[in-house]
Amino acid sequence: MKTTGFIYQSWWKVLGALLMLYTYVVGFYVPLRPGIEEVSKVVLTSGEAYSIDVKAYNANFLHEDSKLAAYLRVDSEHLTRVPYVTVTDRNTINLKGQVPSEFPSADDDVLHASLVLQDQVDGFIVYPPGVVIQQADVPSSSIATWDDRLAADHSEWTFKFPYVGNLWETVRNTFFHVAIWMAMFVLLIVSLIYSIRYLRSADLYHDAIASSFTEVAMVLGMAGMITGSFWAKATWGTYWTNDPKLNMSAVAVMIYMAYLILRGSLSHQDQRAKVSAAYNIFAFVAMIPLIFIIPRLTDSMHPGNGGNPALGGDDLDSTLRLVFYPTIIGYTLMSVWLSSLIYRIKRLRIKRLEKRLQVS
Amino acid sequence: MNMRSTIRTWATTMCVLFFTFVNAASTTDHYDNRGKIYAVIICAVIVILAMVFYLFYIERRLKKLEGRYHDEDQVN
Repeated sequence: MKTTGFIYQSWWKVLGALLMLYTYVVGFYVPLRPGIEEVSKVVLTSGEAYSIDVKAYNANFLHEDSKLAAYLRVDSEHLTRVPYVTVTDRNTINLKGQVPSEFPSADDDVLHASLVLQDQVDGFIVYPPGVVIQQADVPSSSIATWDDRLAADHSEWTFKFPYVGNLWETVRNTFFHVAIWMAMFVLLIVSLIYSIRYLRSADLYHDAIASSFTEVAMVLGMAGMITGSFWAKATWGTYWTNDPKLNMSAVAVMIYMAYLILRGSLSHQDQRAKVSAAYNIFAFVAMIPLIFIIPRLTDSMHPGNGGNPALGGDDLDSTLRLVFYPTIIGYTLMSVWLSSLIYRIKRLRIKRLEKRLQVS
Repeated sequence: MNMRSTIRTWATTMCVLFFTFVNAASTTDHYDNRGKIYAVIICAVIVILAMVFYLFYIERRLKKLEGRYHDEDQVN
């Protein structure tokens, strides 16, 4: 038997293992950037003297180089610096000051201002929901005015994962949930290609490749659903909701499970290969609308779907990408390794059968 | 070493690793307790376990095949 082919080489298996190691080490080791969790007051009135408690996550306000400054920022030319910033502990501060009495433009009834903290250690910390400033009924005089620039920023860039809304540390699950699904799609595409090749060539080895890849893809699919379920418990508060993305992906996985059961139920080699190749193509075509199209047409809580974009902005910024893409390659290589082992078992069986046919 | 004790050894190792990891993660200053790091640890362990259990499944299949071929060769 020829033992020099791609599946016998070890460089890609080592690469897969190393990439997975990279994911597990870097995915846990890199800290999260600070973020603002809670703001005690979100509606202000012009001219009002305010006192806002801010609760942050993973911040270092007590650091001696912190030199914290806070701003209410309306747009690139209008911001007001908060004059009194009191640091209570490393994650909590109190902001005291007064809102300017005049709005930058007389046409506005309401201003939307974002809360920006400027830390000389961690850089800018922005609270995206921001605060709303209403026009006071009775004009009041205020000493605060609109400024047009922030203080100079001396913070250095550090390799940290972003703080995303209510995700906290679970933003790291991008590597253990999303990447798993991506690897599954790669395997299913390979499986589809070999099913089509089988229908053209009637070569049983092609069918063996297609079914080995689907088997491992289903292990990934199950792992993807279970990890997603735990992630949902941590962020949505429940293991499963009637969300179209969740239900449809469960249906898609079940369709592929039926593929494996179908294969087990047919005993004749050629018949099994033909029927399951046709079924595999059908299953792939069914999966595309189930997972990618229907959830996008309706409202979904799951990121990347109707009214809820993903894989852009802070959901997947450059630091996450630096780990996310190698992770997909790592999982894919490891799963291809597993599939190749299954394929080698199947190939032995086919070889045996051919030999027996030749003898008789 | 038979299959059963292999699985037992593996399971013990995995449990020890898992709890060391959880313990290390929850006692260091690196992760804030509010951060729900446990959800990430659970998912990371599930991914590894899925692959390890699948490896055991492959081994079982291979063993079955080896046994069958061995018997067939004996007959011939």
